Amino acid sequence: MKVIHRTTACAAWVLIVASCWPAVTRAQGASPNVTEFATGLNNPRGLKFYRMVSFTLPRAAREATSPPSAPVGKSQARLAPTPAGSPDASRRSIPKAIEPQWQIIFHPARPVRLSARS
Amino acid sequence: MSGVADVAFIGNTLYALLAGAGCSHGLQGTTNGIIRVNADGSTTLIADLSAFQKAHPVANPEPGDFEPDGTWYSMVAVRGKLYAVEPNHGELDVVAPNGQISRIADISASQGHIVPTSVAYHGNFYVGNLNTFPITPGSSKVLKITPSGQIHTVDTGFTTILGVAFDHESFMYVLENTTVAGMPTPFTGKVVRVKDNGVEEIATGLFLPSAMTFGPDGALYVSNVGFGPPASGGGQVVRITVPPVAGE
Repeated sequence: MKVIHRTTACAAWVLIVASCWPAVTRAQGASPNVTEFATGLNNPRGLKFYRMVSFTLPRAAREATSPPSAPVGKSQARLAPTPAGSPDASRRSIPKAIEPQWQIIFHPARPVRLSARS
Repeated sequence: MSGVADVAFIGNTLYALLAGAGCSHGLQGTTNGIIRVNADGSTTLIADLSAFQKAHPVANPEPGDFEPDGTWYSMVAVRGKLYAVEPNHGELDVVAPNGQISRIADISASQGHIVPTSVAYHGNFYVGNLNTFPITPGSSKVLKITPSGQIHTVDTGFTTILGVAFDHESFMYVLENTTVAGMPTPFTGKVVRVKDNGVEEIATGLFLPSAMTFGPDGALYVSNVGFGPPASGGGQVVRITVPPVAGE
């Protein structure tokens, strides 16, 4: 595996998804169309989406990220590619040959190592 | 690193905007700037924004609220360059990956101390402002800043703007941190959609939200509980289902 990135999460977060599954927990006090996507953050600020080739988390991080009771519950969801909708999405920069599958990894609370399957 | 305010990608490379560093934040020997996250996980400061601001003061800084190192808020990547907004001095600057910094617009020169915070790119730069405290509902606005630095007001009547985004139909969405008078107030944050015939509430009851972006699924993602008493571990990202546009 080739290591692509390791990001240390601070106050700004990177959302790495192709799409996402519906969250089920309504955000407290908010209108009905607002649902929790990720919790347990410290002073979250700017956030962006980024698409990349399929990747994995190391086992320890995976286990830490996906407890059965995790409010997000979709940190390892596998998703079909969808057209980019984010203004900053850089789909064109990723060679077609290495974009066959996608996963959501959202792990804001700890350092994350993202690896790509070659 | 200290106080990452925003992140952006150029190609496959991640960049982060540092806002909490510098001597004036009590962190001697550090500097606000933009860092590049390298392939091995290390980081490299590519642009010293603290030094740039000290060397290039704006026209109308607010003496009573001046922060020499700046308190950078948001950043977007456009065609291989990074564009960042600094609220305390009031400026939009561009940073090339090689570290070259230049000013797009001195917002303070024409607008005074309006505390510009969020930037979105939609052919031009769209910048929302927080404004000063105590909060006066309806006193925030969205500015259009051309790549050459010309500033135009495109919409007014908002309150404490901390996010601007556009959907695939070019409708503009504005994130308001607090919509009542006074000081920041939990559960009063909103997202509104700007239409030709006014604004439409998309989400209400947000808890001191701090930033917003569209996901590729067409939903809005908002950093919620961005500050406030429960922010340590109480912060969250919420997903907002965006209803189709009606009544246009």
